[in-house]
Amino acid sequence: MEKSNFKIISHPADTGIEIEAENLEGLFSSAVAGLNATVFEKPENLEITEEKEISVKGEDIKELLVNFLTEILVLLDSEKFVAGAVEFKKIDEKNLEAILKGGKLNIEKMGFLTEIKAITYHQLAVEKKDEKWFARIIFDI
Amino acid sequence: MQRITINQLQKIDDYRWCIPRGVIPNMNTEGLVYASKKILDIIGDDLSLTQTANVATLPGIVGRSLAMPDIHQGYGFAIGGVAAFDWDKGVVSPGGVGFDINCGVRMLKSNKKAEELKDKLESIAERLFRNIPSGLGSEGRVKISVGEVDDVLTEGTQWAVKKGYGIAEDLKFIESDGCLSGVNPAKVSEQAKKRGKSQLGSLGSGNHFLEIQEVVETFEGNIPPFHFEKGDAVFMIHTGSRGLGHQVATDYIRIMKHALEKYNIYVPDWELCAAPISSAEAQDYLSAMNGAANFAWANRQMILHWMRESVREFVPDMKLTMIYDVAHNIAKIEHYKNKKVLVHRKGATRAFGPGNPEIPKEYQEIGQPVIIPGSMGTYSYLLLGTKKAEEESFGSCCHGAGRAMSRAEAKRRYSVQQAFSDLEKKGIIVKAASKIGVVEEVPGAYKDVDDVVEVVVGAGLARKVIKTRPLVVIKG
Repeated sequence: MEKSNFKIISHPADTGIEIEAENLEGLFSSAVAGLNATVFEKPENLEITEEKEISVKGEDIKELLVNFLTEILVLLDSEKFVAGAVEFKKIDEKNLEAILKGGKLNIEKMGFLTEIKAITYHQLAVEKKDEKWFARIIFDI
Repeated sequence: MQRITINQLQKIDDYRWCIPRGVIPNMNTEGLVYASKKILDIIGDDLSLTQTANVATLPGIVGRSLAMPDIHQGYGFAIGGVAAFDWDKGVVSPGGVGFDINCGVRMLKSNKKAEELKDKLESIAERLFRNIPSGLGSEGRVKISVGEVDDVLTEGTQWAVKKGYGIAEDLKFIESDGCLSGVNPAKVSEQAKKRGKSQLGSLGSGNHFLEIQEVVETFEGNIPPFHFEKGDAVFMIHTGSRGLGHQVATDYIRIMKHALEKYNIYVPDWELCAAPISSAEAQDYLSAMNGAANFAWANRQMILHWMRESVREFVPDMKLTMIYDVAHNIAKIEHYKNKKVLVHRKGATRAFGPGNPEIPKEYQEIGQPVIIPGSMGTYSYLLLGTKKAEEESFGSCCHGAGRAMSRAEAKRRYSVQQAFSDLEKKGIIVKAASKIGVVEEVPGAYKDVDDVVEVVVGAGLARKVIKTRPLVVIKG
């Protein structure tokens, strides 16, 4: 499991995250951690009790990241499933297959900061520099 | 991106400023900013002027690219922007509507004075907070199937009333009678329906709220059919299409991104991604957007029903009657000077004047009610649209106070304790699912709604009816 490395960044009306990772697995895992840190006061209180398999595609790496986080959001909204850790079976710049390890939404234990309405393309950046991956994502809240 | 400053604007009068054609390349028309000097000094710091000019580069734009006085930086289009496009030659852009399709506001008159409710407000607030789902994971109280979501998409508030939420009389006081036609539910993705299915009949969070308010000032309060007096209790609901609408926007932004190349559309900012209105992509988006709009109206209708139920537990003879319900993130087919256009309103409200056949007969003499919710804890206004708005701003007006400070900055400057204490000092009862959410919505994070309303009234786009202050705020 990759260590999460993200920071929350400011935006005039919404909020976002910047991420740095050694590889795509780390980048995408950190994106989930960043999303959870935006939504929940204490994301570390998530109890991992179930797994879900997902398969996501994108025209390029940016679209793949947006589609991936969108799927995380859909699961949160529709099934109250909070993704904690991600185990990648396969990931490249246009496809990924993964197992999400997470649990049921529990506001009492995890606290609530804000809902995320959408993962935006605003100022979206995903790039590889000096052997490291960087990303910036703005969330519409 | 080239950034426009307020020094590049040409003053027309105290409330109108022109962004001249050519201030950035490829503008097909001018920009028109409705603002006072005071407001310009606030908005000069962000990209909203630039974004207004960018919209002017889109093909088929009719008239000017407009900015209302609550304008602030958005994605592609600024929030508080209005732009109309020729139905045959123009484009549609999901960014010109926003993620929260048909985020809008509903206002209701009651048969009570605020004074009569004083001793019951805490109990009513608690019941509203309990009965109307809000906050993260706030599911609707009603379980519906994905198939039934299709009915909501096509029938809007009619679906809600059929199911027993509210009364048929409510519907005519809703923009477009609470249901836009031409919805093909197949154009709304399964992801959107999944998100929406569990959230129908819920408030959400962020700047969504319910309020009980007191009329503090009347301007044309007794213009028939209104009979407002100072001290009257009124109610307000502000929410939108929840995860369903957000997902529709996300889906079609992706589609329109690819449409730019397919249709060879130049944009200075790809977030203005668009497709010709005549294209399949555009028609699909409009169908899905209408469905999401209908979903939002059904949502507000259900919340109204539970609001009535909650209040009547403590005030059995309480009557809440509709004043009006307006959308402020939507694209509408309208006609101006015999030309059929698609008007994008993103953080802007329709403001039709007297005699417009699209407004209820009860308001034909006076014009369409325009509801302007202030930021949390501050004043709200009920206005009326005007003929001038129809002539000049595609029948449009501002929608609220407009953010002036980022959420992060608000959290830096204000503590949770301070935010709640300020509300308490004003005698406002707050029930909130997120305490941090309250901080992000402090009045100091927004422009002054009085300043915003002064501009639209000064420019002749609207007339004031009443000003209200909150007594109870419920937010997610």
